[in-house]
Amino acid sequence: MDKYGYNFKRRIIQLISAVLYNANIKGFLKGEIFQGDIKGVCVPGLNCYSCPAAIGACPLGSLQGALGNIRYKLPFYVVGLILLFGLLLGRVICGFLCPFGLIQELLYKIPTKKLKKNRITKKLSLLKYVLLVVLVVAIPIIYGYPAFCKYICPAGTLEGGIPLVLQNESLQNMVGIIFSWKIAVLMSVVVSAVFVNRSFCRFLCPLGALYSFFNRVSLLGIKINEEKCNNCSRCIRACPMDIKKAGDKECIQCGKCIESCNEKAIEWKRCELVQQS
Amino acid sequence: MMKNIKKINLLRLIIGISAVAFIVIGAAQSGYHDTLMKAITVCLECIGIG
Repeated sequence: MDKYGYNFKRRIIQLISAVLYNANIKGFLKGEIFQGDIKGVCVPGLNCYSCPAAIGACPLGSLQGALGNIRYKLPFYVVGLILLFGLLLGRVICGFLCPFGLIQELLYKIPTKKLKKNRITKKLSLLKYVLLVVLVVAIPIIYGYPAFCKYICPAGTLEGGIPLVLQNESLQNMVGIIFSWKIAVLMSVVVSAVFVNRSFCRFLCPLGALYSFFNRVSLLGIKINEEKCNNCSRCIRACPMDIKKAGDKECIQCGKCIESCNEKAIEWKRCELVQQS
Repeated sequence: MMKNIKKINLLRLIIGISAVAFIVIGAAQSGYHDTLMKAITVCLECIGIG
């Protein structure tokens, strides 16, 4: 029914953004990192800038790098970009513009038994906020290195680590225990994504945690028309994420709930600024 | 309801102005250049080597 419907269109947008983020195909084949000026601008989604195909900077890596230098310079530029992305799109970025989210959604399509959301997954969804505070903010400020990139980021391993190590002999000689650990993290994320919808986004992604604070104010996204809503919770049941209410912090704004609502109480935000005046 | 929208719009305005100001100040402080330099070299930590 939905073959060329809403979900299909969303998938096309996800694919286009993944290709746009990673348009340096020639560099990817040679294992050479893109060096153009545009790479000084962050892309909105999680996409490792050490991926030879990447043509933009990763916002999370750039933030950790900037926080690592906070003693010498305040991280205005990267924080400004993240504020701008958050204001314009919020977690629409997670639902539409994140290549790693797309990979997980495709993995979830593998037909197996699936683990449904429950009380435990709801609790686990708080873990990403802990990772944001500890690995993305505190450790880079205190010790000066990007702890999330170093110990966790599966996107960095998949998009940057594996292609570069495979094509570069000197990097192969440097591979050690941290690389093995990161491969293990990547494998865990990949396997879990087959059984749990967007497991990394829900439980571990600090960028999603960061953007979640903008969901209420973002210019694009979904909203509930409180006058039409009869609190039937159908939207919550239709949602793959651990939401308490459509559009809350856990919502990746994918819009699946819009179709599920019989009252047509969920809609895309529009004209709020105009209605105001 | 209307009051709520007013509050949200005010917040949007503050975030928007802050975002633009931060980007301009950051770019003037060579934030763009720093990000570029980091992004065009292999980040050993990111790929699990460093």
